[in-house]
Amino acid sequence: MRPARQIILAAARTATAAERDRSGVKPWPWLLSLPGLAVAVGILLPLSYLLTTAIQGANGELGDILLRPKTLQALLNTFGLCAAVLASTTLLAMPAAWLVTRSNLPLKWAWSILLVLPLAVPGYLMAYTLLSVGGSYGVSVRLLEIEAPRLTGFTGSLVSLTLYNFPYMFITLRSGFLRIDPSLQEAARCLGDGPWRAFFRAELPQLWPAFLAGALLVVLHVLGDFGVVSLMRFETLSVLLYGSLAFEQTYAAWVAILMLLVAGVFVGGEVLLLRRRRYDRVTPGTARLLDPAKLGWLRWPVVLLLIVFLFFAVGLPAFSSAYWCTQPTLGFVTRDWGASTAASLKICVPAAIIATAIALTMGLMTQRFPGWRSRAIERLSYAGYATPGLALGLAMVGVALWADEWLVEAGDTLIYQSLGLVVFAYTLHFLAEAIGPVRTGLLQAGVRMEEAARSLGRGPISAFFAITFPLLRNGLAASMALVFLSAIKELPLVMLLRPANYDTLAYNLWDLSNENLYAEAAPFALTILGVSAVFVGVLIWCERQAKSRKMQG
Amino acid sequence: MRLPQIHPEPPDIDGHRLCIERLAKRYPGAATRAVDEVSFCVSAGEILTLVGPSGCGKTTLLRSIAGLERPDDGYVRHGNTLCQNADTFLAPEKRGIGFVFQDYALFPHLSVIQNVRFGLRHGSKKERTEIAREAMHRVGLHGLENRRVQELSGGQQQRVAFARALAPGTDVLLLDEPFSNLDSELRIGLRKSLQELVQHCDLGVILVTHDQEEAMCIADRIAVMRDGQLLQVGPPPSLYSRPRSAFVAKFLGNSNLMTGQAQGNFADTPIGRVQIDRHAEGPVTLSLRPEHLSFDMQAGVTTPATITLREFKGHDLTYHVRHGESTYLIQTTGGSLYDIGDAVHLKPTSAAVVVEDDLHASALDQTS
Amino acid sequence: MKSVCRTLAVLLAFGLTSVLGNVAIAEEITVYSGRSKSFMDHLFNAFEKDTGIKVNRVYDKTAAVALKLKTEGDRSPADVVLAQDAGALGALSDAGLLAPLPDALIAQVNPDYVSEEGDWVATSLRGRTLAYSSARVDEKDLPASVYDLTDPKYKDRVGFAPANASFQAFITAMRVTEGEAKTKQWLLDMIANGVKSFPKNTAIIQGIAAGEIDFGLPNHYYLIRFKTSDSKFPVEQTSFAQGDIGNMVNVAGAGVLKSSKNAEAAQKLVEYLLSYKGQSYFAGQIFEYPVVDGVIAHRQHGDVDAKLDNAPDVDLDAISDLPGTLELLREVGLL
Repeated sequence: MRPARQIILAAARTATAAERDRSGVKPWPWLLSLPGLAVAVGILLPLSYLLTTAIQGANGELGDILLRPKTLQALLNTFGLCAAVLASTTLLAMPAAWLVTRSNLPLKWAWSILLVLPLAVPGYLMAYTLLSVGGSYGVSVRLLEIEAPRLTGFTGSLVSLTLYNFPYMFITLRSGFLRIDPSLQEAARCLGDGPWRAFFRAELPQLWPAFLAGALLVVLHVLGDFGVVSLMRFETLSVLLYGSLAFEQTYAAWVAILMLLVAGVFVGGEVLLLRRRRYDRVTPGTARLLDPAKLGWLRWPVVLLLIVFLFFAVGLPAFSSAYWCTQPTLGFVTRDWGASTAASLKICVPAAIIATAIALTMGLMTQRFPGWRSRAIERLSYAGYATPGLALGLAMVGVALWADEWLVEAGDTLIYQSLGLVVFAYTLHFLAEAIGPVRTGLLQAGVRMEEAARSLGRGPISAFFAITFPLLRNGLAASMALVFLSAIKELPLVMLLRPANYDTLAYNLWDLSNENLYAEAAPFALTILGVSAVFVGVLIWCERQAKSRKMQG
Repeated sequence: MRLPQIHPEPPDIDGHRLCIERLAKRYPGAATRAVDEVSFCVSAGEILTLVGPSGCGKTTLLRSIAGLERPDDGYVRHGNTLCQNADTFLAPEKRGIGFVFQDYALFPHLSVIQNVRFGLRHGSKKERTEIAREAMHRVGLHGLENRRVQELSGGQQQRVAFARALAPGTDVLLLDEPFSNLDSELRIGLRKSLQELVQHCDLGVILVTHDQEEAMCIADRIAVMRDGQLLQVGPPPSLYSRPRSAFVAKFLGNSNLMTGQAQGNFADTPIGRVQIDRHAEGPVTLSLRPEHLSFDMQAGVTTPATITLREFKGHDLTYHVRHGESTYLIQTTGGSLYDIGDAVHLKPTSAAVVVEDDLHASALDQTS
Repeated sequence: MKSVCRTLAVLLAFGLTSVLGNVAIAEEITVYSGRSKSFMDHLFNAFEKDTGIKVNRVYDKTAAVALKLKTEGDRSPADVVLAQDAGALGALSDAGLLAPLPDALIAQVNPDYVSEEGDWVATSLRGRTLAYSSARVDEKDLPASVYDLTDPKYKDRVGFAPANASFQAFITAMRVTEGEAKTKQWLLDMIANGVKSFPKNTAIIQGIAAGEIDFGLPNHYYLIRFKTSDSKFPVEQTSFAQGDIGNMVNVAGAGVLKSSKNAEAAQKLVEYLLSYKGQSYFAGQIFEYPVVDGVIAHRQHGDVDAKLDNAPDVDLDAISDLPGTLELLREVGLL
């Protein structure tokens, strides 16, 4: 698996020397930078609008708004949940990543794939599963006559979010392990350290950047999560925001700003902790494969533990959704599965394509026209990713209504509640995920071959499409798959922005399970699971292709 | 129960820092051994270079000595420490053998002084820092203590790696291609420092390289490996002048290899009758260094040869001369210049060395 | 690779055509529904089928719908508003956003359930009730009044849904009939007694079944739903003593927006909700009480008239102070 998402943020830092050498003597490509500029405006405008309306609305009662015990409690809850999920994903992902890179665990490649599968299970589906399985009248009692605990509140949120966010940490730590020069461990051994001491003194510190990248992804996802915490009834900032949206919009806007600040603290913290700590390999030595650690008799208990983990993270949601599918529904609740699937596709497919196209233009800019302008535009796309969905949605609603006032006659709407707005919001929110694979593809393709085509008489555009574009196919497919995978699961944005009749699969699943209509929710759960699993498969396939191509090269 | 040991008694290591005996290692799934019963010893103040073509097992041998690979069989002793025999396998950290990696393996998260101090475990931090600083001085590093290793040049990184390996007070140093990532000027300087260091600290050093020139100029003794086996060990001049086999002859410097029929101290070869270095009878393989072959325009015993190529190298000249099916290299200093196409007669100026034929027959008739 | 490209191309084509396919316009109206999708979708589908008028649906909480309509003002795309609380409809009426309904339409409904201005009409009735676990609660432990739930006997055993419009209407009614101070004290006592907040009524019922709580304060029809699909469902419900505010009966209602550009079609939808078909759906499928005579309530209800008699006397036009209730709930920390 490509260190998929971890590239997203890492990419911002890895301006290669080759790029820097080619600094901007060429004229700035205005046409090429248009999509990136649109993204920049698209993210800055709503956020500044949100800020100004919040300030105007506060009317000097800001202290009262922010110092409510409920606000502080939600803030504490949010930080607590972020910290707890971070700790638990690390505790799970660290040994798992070590096992699939450094041990003689049987079928390591298969585990590397299987352990990414929880990506296909959105957090709220996990929460729905836990809620419907446990308790004195849950699935486990009905099927097995064993009463499983019914996790709610903090514990329930922690478990759901841990299982859901595990792959992000796992993927980054795994590629972190793979990047460590194995001779560091050997050097420590030759200097008198035992295997464990060598691991902790020489290797673990090398994982720091990978850990930070994974940690940022995890905390941003926990901060942005709405589905899990609302189903589990744990009042974090996002629950507070959504709850107050109906009753007190200024307060909601301030909660959104608070969430933005928290996201800013996380991103800033990562940058700060990473400063001066780029542990690239010192010299380009030949990486030798380390002898895998022998697990001995432990290997079977370890395999068993991994199976148990996967059962809870993937098997349980699938089984319980399948079980509820067979249960009688209440009859009158008719949700159009087809319309819902179509709504999801109508939003997610254009979003995936547009995001990938924009990512391509941005990748070309940073590769061929490096400089502060390219960097700034790229950084802003990460801002869209870091902005919690509810905050982004709220800001978009505000700016859309404001824009409609200018654009169309009173009583009419053009942007507000339009499909285009949802697609645009999704694109902004997930653009960063598309950048990684496209960028890697561009770097691998390089510019030499295109230059060769130019010297053979092709124009710049023709040369690009004849030479570089075909080499990018894998990267483009991976980008689209990543965006689509996230978009199909997206809940907060669609809740605030969806046009009439655009109830997506995710929305229906959340809405029905929020009403505890588990049998009704099951088909939507299974659809999301199935589609996501297919796209996780596409991602893994793209990764394997890229790898085999690299080996041939 | 293990089978009876082949070597129940450790070999005598008096005067040797490190001895290995019949060390063998086969990778799982490989048809042949990567290291095939290799034995040698290293003394204090001595540099032994392991040379051989890539894939010959020299790095595996070095790693096996350090304990980074687990050999299947054999015996390793460092000073009075038994590192390995049939029943024992001492973990690398318990062997007290210093190792310098090809890519140096400096810890990128630590500063220079922290890297050098890494292997020191006893005493206060101040004491350890003092020892580390001393090790740095010994390798000629001054005032870089608090730099990050990424900020150092390749040569400086190399010295840090040396200092780090030396700091714990080891008397045996294993070096895996230590100069391969450096440019040639830096290489020469570092070789000299290494030689001084070995003399000054009375170290025993095993150095792996694929560069035969480097091997010859730095080594007290050279060990030539091929396909996991040790072919010949000895001081560079004796290996150069008396190669035991055709492979050793070709690997250390250029050589004209030819087959001949020996009769006493002479042999009949395609270029005529040549003197050989020992008494022999029947078919033999001979090695004649390019500087031991010359030619002139005067008619000789055999048919004339043709000059096909001339390489001017400043202080000497190398001619490629075609005779029959084979091409011969002739190295001369000064004298008159011959042109390509000139017909000449080959004349050996020194006795040819009788070598074991361990190359393919087809390769014999061609010189590089 | 090729096959993936082809798949993506097909997906792209599908996405584009489906976006473009939306251009064709039939007669259509937009409904902002404060009643949940699970309840209303079925009825809207039937309406579309019967009349050929397309219904665009936007679902949200009743209070959110009301707020949204106020924010959007005359720019709102909505034609019809549905709410599950008289208070929200009253607030919209006060803000002058609702258009008067035709007399013929109003005449169909019991006058108790029409607003004074005639700009909104009730479409069904729902009673507040006490749900309890049949597995863990003895009938003699049932409280006589909603005020009894603050007793230590019920500590950590009760759940309600403060964000739910019906609960908010119940609190508004309590404020109107029992006074501001007493209502606030009750809420504070409930919180002190460890009451658990749920997002929705169904979650309360499930919470009782799952063993998280033993008592809950939902609307009456949720449990009936569970019971019809699963007769062994381990939850029962009961009323408080006659006239207790905990037995309050509220309405779900509908109105047409002044800003509607298609008022005729909008009125058709309201009419449809009051028709025999619509009322039978509310009564027979959602298990609410009908507002039109001649429609038979579901047998699960038992005696509807007796239930309505049990209810406290509350003037539905008087409970429009939703903002006051929200402020109170916020003050005690429930919102």
